[in-house]
Amino acid sequence: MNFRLWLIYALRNLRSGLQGFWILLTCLTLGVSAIAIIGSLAASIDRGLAEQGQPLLGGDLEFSMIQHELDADQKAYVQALGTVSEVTTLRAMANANGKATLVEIKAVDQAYPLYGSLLIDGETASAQVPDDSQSVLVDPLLLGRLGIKTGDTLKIGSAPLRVAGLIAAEPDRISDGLVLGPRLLMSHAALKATGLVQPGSLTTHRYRVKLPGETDLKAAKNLIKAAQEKFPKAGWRIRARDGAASGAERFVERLGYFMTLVGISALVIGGAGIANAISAFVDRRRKSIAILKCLGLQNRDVLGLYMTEVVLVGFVGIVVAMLLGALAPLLLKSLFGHILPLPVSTGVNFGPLVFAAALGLLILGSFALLPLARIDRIRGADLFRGFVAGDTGRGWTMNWGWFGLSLTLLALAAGLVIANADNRQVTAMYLGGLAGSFALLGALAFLLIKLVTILPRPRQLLLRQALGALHKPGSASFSVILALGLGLSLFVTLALTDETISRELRSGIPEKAPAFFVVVVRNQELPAFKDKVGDMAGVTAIGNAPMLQGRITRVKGIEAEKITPKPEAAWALRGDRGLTYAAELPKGSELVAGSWWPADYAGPPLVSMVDEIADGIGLKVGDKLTVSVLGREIEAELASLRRVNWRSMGINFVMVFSPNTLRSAPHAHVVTIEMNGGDEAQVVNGIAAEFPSVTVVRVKDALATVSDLLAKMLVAVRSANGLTLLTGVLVLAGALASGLSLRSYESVVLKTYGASRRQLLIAFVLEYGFIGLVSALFGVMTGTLGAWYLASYLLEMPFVFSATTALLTAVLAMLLTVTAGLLVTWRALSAKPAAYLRDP
Amino acid sequence: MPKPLLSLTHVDLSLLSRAGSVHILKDVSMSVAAGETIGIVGPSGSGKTSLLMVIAGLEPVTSGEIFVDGEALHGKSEDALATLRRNSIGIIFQSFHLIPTLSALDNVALPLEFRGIPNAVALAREKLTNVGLAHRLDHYPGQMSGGEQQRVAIARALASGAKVILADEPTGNLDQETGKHIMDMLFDVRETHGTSLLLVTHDRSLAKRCDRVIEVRDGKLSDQMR
Repeated sequence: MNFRLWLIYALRNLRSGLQGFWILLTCLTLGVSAIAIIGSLAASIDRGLAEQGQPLLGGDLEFSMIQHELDADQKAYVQALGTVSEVTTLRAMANANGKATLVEIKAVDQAYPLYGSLLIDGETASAQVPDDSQSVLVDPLLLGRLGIKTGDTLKIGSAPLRVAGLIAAEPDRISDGLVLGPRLLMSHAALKATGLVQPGSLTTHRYRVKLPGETDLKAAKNLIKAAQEKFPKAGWRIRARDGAASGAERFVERLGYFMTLVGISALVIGGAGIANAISAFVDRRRKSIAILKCLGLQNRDVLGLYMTEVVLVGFVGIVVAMLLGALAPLLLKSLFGHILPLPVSTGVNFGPLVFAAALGLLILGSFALLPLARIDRIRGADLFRGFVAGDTGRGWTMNWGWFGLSLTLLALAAGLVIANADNRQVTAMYLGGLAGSFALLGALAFLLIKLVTILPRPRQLLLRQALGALHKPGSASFSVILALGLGLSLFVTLALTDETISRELRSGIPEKAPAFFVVVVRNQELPAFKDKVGDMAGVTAIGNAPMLQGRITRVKGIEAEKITPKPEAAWALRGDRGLTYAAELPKGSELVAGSWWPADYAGPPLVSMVDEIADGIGLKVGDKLTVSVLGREIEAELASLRRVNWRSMGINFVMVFSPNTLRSAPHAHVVTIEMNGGDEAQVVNGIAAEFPSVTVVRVKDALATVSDLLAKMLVAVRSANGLTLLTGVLVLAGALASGLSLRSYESVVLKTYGASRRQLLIAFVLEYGFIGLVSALFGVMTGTLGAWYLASYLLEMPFVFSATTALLTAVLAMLLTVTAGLLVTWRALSAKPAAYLRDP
Repeated sequence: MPKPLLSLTHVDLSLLSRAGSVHILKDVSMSVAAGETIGIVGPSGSGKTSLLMVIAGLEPVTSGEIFVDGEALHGKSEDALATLRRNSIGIIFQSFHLIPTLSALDNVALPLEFRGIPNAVALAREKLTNVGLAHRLDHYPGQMSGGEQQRVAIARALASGAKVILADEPTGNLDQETGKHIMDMLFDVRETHGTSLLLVTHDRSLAKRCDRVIEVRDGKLSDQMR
């Protein structure tokens, strides 16, 4: 092998520039960049979360308990670990000027924050929360909601509190999970003055620890293990700094994963462009290839030389993509760092860059090999005869060896993606779908072109000209249909998914949904609550369900810590969870296994669980489950499994116990209020005035928070869509550009023999319109199938088919192909005849 | 009698086209001695170029045998034929056929380098200097006149030490004066290197400068003239 000579001559060939390689370069760079940038950003956020773990968590360790504080022994143990800061969080209603709104209270001590800085609006130095029972710091958002300003007083529970300042930055905000209202920071004394902390209220007590000296993660993890061994029944949740923002981390991970799959699809669609560009490259180099063969170079050397040239160009694209990927976190931080809710580390993430580069090389190889193999079929003898574009002189036959090698490289690329994915099954199915679409579309394009060749020739000259152009030597219609069809498939999948999510957002509140959820209505105040609220204007029904907190401690007799649950069920084993009891099957639930207990059941404890959670932690009907409720361990038998329609917005709990198990335990209620007409704000204000200790969650507000998250996903879906469409257009442009010279020649000859510009334009429009139509039909068909799968199995939302989207796709495809076609044709029609007709 | 450098025995060439099989060369036999120059004439489409192609191993014969420098072409793989061309045969075309993306020097050096000749670039420079192009080494084909391009092609054909040069209307695209200059150069090569020359041409006066003239008509070799 003459590797050195291949390299030298490939470099010499490239000295004159990258002309003719732009489409290859752009397709490859775009796909690889997308993968590199997404991977690099996700890794940077991941690392940022890890680096900022201490301020985000508020300590090296956090011990948290729902509803109750640590006992004296536990507290002493925690305090012995290092400096402790106690934080209590809960939701409540803030009142002022006759208005009420939901707020997120965080009561802290003077040690807060242990890490990072609390910043107050207008001050630059790190601040502390006022150490008195009359002041609060608030999120500026609250001022507008209540119509107050700094220095004014608002009421929380039974305490009037003065707004002492506005929160500009709260270091540990992200670790608190879903935030439904503006933040309020106060001292423990102020919280006590509100009177909100009562048995049964939904408080979370957090004990953050700053470890002395040794603060590495491993040491912290060892301390967690030791604490759990020392107090196995404490029921606390202990997090180290790597768990500070696990929710955000999972979100970034999933979004990154989704975007990576789209990037891979864009790269594969770009593969058609790569294949087409290399085919055009081989055509352009045919004369040189034939000369080299006449000069006595062996096939191996000729192939090696041109393959090296393609690989060198590919390297340029991959290096550019890697640079973009490496710079992306820095750019993101410097441009949007001030508004990003997540910390971004700006270091280079080699893992995702190498992954993107490897994928780029494998895809380049797999799509380049077959067109490059045509070099083998170009002969020196061709120099003595005229070349016909696209014709290798010996006809086209499949080179099975190269085809096998191509498939092997594709399989390697797929293997790499699957090995790198968290959810390998879904990834494998996605890649399978992509490969299936590719094969199906390839077969369809091939058959259609074949069909055109065997159909009787149309009498109409222009139609004959247009259809003939689809299968003439050198025609790019196959690769254009393939790339554009695939691009449009993905476009339709994403557009319909967009439609499904948007419809879900618009029609997210079912007809019979309650207007409010009210949490922690104490048992003794429930009758008064129902009376008063029932009389308010617009209120049509009030429902309630008992609510307790409990923690699963054993599953089939095995300690919960030793269970490895499925990822989707893991949360059920983390700390305290809400639970209830009921005599009848709750609304919105459907029994899928076992049987419901009789209304007057008085036997040993029974429990009913949501089917996917039970399955996720390995439980079947008849198995035993132990739950710790208010410090008491209850062993219950799993009597039934329910499938819950959470979209019904009714009250539903993962665990429902037989009434006799929990009826006597002290508990509160969660209440739903249904309304028909009336002023929701008035009801909120009325409840807040009458029952200051309860928290009213407006369903519309809560849904808006979730919608906001989905809307952010939509932005990702839409940018992904833009990427795939751009790749499809690039492939189209590349294919048309590579055929420009032949088109110009044809136009000149046809014009010489009397064809008018108008006639030629019509023929071209017909040709490109046909390509656009076929691509659009396929895109709509497979895209709909893909969107249906995504909606039904991943998003679990009702699938929405939009005829408008389908029609728009078809129109868009036709517009794209015809416009691009006409742009190229216009140049062809403007070609000067002399340049083509004069002999050299 | 010395062993011929090149011999064809009962060579037939038929090519398949969409219109059916076309019989291009019919029972062609001939031999060429080392250092001999032969002019090949005949009307368009008579098979002159095909004759050069089968000799170069670029088109496999349908039947018959061809020997070049003692080596039989039949039964040889494409790569073996490429090696034979590299070592023994130089080809010069009417359209020069230089690689447009390589400089004059690279065009000549490339086959030498792939042959593994250690001082390929120096040798290429020397050959280009010999054809009067020392000042054009780094020029690309597009930057040179037709005559200069053909001189590069000659330098390329000679550089590998070809024993026979197959020239297909080498002056067809050149003006008369440049054409004469190029032909002088090719005949000089015979004098200086002892290289055989097979020259396809329409120009009978040019053909007459050769040792022998062969006329091809309808795929057959007819009277050999002087």
